[in-house]
Amino acid sequence: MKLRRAVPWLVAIALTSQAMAEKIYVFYPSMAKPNAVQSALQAKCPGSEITVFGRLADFTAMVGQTPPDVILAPKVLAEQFSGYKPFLKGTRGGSPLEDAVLVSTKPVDLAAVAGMNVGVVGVLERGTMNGYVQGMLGKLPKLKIVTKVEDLLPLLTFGSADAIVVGAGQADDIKGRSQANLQTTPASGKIGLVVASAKADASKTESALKGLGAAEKKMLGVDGWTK
Amino acid sequence: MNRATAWIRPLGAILILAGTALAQSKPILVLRPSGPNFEETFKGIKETLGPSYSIEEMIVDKETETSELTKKWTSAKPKAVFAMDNKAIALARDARGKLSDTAVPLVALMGVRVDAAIAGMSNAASVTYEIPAVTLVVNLRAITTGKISKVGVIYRTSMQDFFQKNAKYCQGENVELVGIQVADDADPKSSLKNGLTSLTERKDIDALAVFNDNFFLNAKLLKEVWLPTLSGWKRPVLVGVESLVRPELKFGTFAILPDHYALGAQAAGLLQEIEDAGWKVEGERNDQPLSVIKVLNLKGMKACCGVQEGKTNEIDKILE
Repeated sequence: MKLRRAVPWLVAIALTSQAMAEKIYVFYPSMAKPNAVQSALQAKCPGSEITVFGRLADFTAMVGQTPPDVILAPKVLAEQFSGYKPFLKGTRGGSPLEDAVLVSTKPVDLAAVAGMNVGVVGVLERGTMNGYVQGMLGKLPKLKIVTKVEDLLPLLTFGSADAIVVGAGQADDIKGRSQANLQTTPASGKIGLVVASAKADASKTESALKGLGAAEKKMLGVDGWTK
Repeated sequence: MNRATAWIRPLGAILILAGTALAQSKPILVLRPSGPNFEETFKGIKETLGPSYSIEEMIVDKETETSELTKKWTSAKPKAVFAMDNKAIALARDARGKLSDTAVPLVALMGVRVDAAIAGMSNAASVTYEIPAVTLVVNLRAITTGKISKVGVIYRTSMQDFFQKNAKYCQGENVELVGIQVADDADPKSSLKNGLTSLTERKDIDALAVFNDNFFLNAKLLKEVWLPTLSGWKRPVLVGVESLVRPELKFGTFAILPDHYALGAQAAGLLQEIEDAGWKVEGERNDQPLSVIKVLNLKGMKACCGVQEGKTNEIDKILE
């Protein structure tokens, strides 16, 4: 009898805590699979409801349809959602920006980049990727846009691209997978790392993100946070 | 204009804008069979191309006649056509012939040897469906602690060009693809048995790659040749079919499958390149598939070779 009376209360408490949990949407293309990132982040942020997206289109659609409290995405993408203001910036080596680099099988002349095919992971709508890459390289090459970081190396393997453009951190991951003689050329621009943006106060998420371990932060391409 | 009719002007403007957008959108025709993989590829095409293309689908099956397609082609007036699977490619080829229309580029995908299926066609390109061996090798090497420098494969003479291309890609990654060639008219069972025995007896073969070829890969030969011959062979076996890495089967270690959504996105990117070139494909254009789904038989992998710590995070599906 006592148990029967307690059940509705327990359900109500569970539902309330779920309703109060901050909903976080994450989109950050990396070598790690979205389900692995989600499990790792969820384990460290038990008070939040985390969804990690592997596809930009799904992320963008869901932010529109059922807006989360917090979005965690590369700076350039987070800025597209005007209702969300950044409250935490991911950093690497103390900086919220990292150097953009070109990885290629042959030496790259940056002055000739406009005539090249350059691979890049799509973190924005296709039409807006041109401006983003031009900002990194100073010139606009022909883009080969892929959906996953791991798809960049095949572009070089099959000769579909002359070079790929990534952040310095991901360049190491990609080179680590290959035994081809890959070369790195620093580009002129920088890439904004992941930022956490919210519609309102997100102090709970902020403290949870600050408490992430090195492994989880690595999955987000950062090693620290700054305001 | 009074209050009651004040809404007409903005509505009219909206309708004009919508009409203009529709008129400016580029008509694309997609020919495909039904089924979840084709739907996923279609989704990749549609989401990548976005609203400035109006995409019309035509579901094809064994019964579909060329005349149905020519009718659709005439009414849709496509700027380009996607054809998924060999039946759709054959239909598109016939329809083009009947309509004498080679101005509309064709992008072929998701068929067996689509590169061969569009050979000789003008203004046509493809994304091949077969996952290149180098993709299997690079992904295996990314997770295993074992050395992978020689990979064995058995193939038919008619697949020689495919093998050679794969061997060249593997060479770029410092991997030698060691092939055993079997004549197309050879007895599949004995030739497979001999080939496998020869490869597994070699101490320097670090893994086997199994091509998706019904000649060698079917239920009968799996039971009578593959499983008994590989029993006790403690090296990874790379396959292209998910069911072959079920741990209880004790066969495949690592399956690499096409990522259909990404395949659609890749084909859409190819179409946009064709559009930039004035809706023209210069010469032969056969792109390799870039994106894959990885399924790991963890038990099998641990039994034959080590797994690098933390690297299972890079696997889409783990079977234990």
